[in-house]
Amino acid sequence: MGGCMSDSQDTTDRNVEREIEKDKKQDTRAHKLLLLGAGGSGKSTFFKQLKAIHGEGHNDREKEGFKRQIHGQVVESIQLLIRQCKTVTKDPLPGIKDEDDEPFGNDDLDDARLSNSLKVEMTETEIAQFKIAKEFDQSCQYLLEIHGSRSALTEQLVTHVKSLWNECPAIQAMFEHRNKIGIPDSSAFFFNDIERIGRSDYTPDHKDIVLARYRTTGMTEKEFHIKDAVFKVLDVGGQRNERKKWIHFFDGVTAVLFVVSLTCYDEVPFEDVTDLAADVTLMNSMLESIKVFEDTLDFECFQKTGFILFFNKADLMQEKIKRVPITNAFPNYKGPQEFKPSVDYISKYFLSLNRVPEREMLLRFFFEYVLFVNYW
Amino acid sequence: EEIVSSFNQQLTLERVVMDKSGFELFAAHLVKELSLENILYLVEYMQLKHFISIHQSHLLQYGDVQAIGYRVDICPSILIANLDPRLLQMNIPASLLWQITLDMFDYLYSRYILDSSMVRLNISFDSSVSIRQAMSQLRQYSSLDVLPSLITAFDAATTDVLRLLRGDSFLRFQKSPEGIAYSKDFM
Repeated sequence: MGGCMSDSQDTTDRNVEREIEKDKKQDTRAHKLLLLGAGGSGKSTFFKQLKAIHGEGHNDREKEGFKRQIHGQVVESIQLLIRQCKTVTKDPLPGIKDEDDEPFGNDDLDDARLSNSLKVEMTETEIAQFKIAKEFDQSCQYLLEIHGSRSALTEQLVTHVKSLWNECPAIQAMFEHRNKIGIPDSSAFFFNDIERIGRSDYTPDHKDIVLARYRTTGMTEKEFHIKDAVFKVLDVGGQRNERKKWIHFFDGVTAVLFVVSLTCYDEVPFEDVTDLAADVTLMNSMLESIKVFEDTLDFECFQKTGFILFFNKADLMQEKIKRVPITNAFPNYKGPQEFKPSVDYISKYFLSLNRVPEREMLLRFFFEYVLFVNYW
Repeated sequence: EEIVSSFNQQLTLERVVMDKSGFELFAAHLVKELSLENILYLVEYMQLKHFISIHQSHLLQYGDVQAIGYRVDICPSILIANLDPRLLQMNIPASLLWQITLDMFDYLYSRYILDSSMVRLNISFDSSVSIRQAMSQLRQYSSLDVLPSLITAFDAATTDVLRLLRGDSFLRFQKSPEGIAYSKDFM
């Protein structure tokens, strides 16, 4: 075998071997850090923060990508709000021309979605608050017809979003239930700033970039040089199907950075989002995070691996705790409905899941867009 | 350089998958990122739609071409060349055509949608429930009547997959060396 290989093939093979050797050496000196956590916990946001602070920042090309993500988030969020309002009130979706990939206009699917609404047990008065007035029909129709690749914020689109967000009480009422219907908190920030982000010369700033929310699929990695150390950080998707892929990255891990959203104790996981009937005490992203954390700790290969638990969105938790107690996810919690005791309870609960006392466990807290503020 | 950069920024997922080298580069990128299932699903579902469209006189009631739903334009040399040529023959009996269609839907369901699937897609509850309902309807009434609702349900999953690719993997592909090389070659 190989006797018929040409000299150029030989040279190519040697070059490839040299590259592999070089990569191996680099891999050996780099500390491999694995970012894990349930879907929506903020792994990719953490990754973006790292890049902004310890990497080379975000160049124009990347900012253009974030701009598309932000525009996509605005369009998807407003579409979801409209669809949920229509579902709850059993109001047929406005006549949508099925001109490209949006299946929302199809009657069969709408019927299936509307039939899901039968689970919602609300009084007529409660339902009425989600009724979108006729005057917004045109805006609803326009927005529901938008195709993903056409989600750049045109002037007309901005006008429709602004009108629904600022003038339609049903949309605002539905947004109050965003925890159940999978709408990110940060969508309000983008809706409020729709004129700025809709300008043709708009470039996302640091805050916009950090607040942009998008699901991650697969894995992406990046090397960071901090002082004399090299860190190779791997960011992965957190939804259930994505977690099946994690095992492929477990070899040679220096530490696991496990990210938990502190506000997710009343949020329905993406894979379970249906409608307002969702019972957040039965299934919420905090329960999901706990299960994922337990499963991760149990992996044989991680028995001696250090874990850093990152509790994310502490600033948002400070607001949420005033309205929603953590008993949704921690029914045994008997403390006051206040930030510090609640967070203490959550962090101790997570630490108690570690059954290997010699395994190093560190706690860190960070805020939505202020990095690494030590809570202790 | 500027023209390439500007072209690169204007690249869309649709444009890349329409072209053979674009498709292959993007697929290679997804292999590296361990998210190939997204594009595999798109290809296999579009192959199914291609099969339905070729045999529409037998499979679509009242010749309703609209019922085929949304189609992603994937490079024909990828889409059709990888489809078993026997499926493209025009002399397949109608009953067998329907059975093949059902088998293809079953295959997609078990490979990409079921909780136990090895390459399960990252799709919303809404989409997977719609598909489950359509599949269960199919098991009760195996007739051509259920085809439109099956297609509608799988189209919802397709929308989820397209959104995920556009908002995540494709953006990384665009700025990757492969994405930039593709832009240069295309120019």
